[in-house]
Amino acid sequence: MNENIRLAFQGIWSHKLRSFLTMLGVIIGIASIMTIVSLIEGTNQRLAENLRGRGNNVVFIDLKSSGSEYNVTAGYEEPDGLYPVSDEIKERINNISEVKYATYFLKYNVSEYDQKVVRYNDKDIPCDLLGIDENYFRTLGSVVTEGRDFQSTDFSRIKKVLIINRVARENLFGRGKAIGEQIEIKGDIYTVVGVCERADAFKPKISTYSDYVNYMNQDGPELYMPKSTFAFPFGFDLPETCAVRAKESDKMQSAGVKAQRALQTGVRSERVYYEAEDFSESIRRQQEQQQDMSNMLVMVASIALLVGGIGVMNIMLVSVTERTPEIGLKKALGAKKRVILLQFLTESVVLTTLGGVLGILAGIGFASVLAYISDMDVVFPIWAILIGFFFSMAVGIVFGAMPAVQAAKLDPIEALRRE
Amino acid sequence: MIIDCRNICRSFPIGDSFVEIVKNVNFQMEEGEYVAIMGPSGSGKSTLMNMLGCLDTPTSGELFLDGVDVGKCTDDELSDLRLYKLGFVFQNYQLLARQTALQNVELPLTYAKVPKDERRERAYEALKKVGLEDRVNHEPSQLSGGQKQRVAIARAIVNRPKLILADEPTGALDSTSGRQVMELFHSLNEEGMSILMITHDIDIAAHAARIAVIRDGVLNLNAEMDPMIIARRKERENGVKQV
Repeated sequence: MNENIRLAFQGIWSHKLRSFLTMLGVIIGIASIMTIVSLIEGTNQRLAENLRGRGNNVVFIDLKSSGSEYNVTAGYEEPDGLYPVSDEIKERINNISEVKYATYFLKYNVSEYDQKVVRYNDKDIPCDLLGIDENYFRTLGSVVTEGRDFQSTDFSRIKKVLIINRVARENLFGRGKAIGEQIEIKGDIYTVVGVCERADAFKPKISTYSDYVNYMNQDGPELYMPKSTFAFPFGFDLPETCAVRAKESDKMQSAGVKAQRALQTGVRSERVYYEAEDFSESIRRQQEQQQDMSNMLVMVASIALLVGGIGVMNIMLVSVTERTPEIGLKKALGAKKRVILLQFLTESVVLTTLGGVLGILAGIGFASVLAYISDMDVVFPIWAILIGFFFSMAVGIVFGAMPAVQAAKLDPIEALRRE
Repeated sequence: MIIDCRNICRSFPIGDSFVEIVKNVNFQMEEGEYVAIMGPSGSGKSTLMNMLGCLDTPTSGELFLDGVDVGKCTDDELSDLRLYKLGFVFQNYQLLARQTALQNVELPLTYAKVPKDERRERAYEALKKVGLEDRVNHEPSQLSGGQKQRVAIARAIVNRPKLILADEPTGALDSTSGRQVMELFHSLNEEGMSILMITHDIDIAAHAARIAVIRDGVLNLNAEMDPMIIARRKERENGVKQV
């Protein structure tokens, strides 16, 4: 066997150009499959990471209205049978083993058409207004990067202070000073005390347009005030929405569902219900789309591999014809049929496997360059490398079999006579 | 008895009919004998040689090689006969290009699954025996015709066969190299190796202890009476250039 492999390499080396051209089909086939798979895997991984907020594992449990897809938020309606989330329910949610942190907040969406709700510099500002508790930033993985966080006195003394997010800061103040600036909300003056943004680890990676569409709209301008202050401009403190952070990504689903059940126990209305958002569904949908595309691309690449395999078969047949006297001699010297068969099969397998290895390397290189240029994520799954390796080997066996059988069947007398 | 042919025939289909190339050959050869078979081209000597070399099987008759009934052997058993009992020497050497002399000689040993170290050693010994120990790492293209044929002989004897089958071993050699090859055969024969040689050269055939002549597929064991031998003898006496 070793001898066969040595001979195969010697044969490939002595016909360098021919061998390379023969391998080219396999190289291109494997390289394109490798490139496609790596980029698709990278995209899938980013999709999953971005949807999960790159590991912050937050699940929102929104209040939905029966028969409508919209979330029930503060201000729009105040259905009967809703109460602030009780301490008992909060305690139950804290005791869910999958839950790391939980926060309860109020949300009011200020649309472009709302007038005189939020004003700065005599302009109406569309944004989300939130009344938050002391766990909000911790739960969502945000950090205060300018100014200060809320202090217990802000809550207890119902202070008119605001923390704004990065988007709001840029919209309102651009590069100018933010801390100490004053924003008018329902006629009252609120002072900006801090700017928060998502901790680096949890920022989605945006590089393609679809990333932008998927994640940018999640990050609209947001203004936060202490929950106790929220009732002041709006006159209500209902309904409360909840967000929990799961301890691990794969526990998000169950953490959400359990929290949703706990919250539901506090609802005394037929018209509304709590629902945890379902990431797995949207991740799966997007990944399925990617998968469909990659399947098609892999099929196209397989055709390249097929053509490559036929090229290998062709050149092996030429090789058998060329080496007929050698085969005859070997048989005369006592080589059995299977020895000859194995020799030629080894040669074609070595040829295609070498092509496969070069193809894998080329694919990795190509995908890396492509990823670098277009700022895409790329992942080289070990299974793809192994599949590429064994697949190229299989191509050698399948397409090398016929020439090898032909070589083994040669009549030694005929073979020796030819020269 | 190393070779025992009993009424062997070999016919080939040509068109609708069969043409008999080898006819009813009866031929015995004892171990340690040195026999030459002469015959003009088309006489059937190559066909006979192929059958004796287990590359071809008789259409009828029985052939025993060292007691083994060749007609009853499978493909693999024929391969083993060639591997362990026979050594081939061809007119055109049949060495593998781009392989060194040593690798060429090792070839039959790899088929016999001899371990690598022993293979090296035995191949080297065989090359030493033919006087080429200083050429082990040369490739055929770097060797003269006589040296190539000696590498081929080393390859033929490396697996310690019972019988060497030589098909025109000096056909492509000049007279000096031819003589060296004949000397080599002599010393091998003296060590007890059986040698069967095909040639059309009477001088070469004369090295053998026994000469048989094949003509139109019929083997004449009593070669001294063969018209070809007599004619050749006459040519030599008259100083006519040999063909």
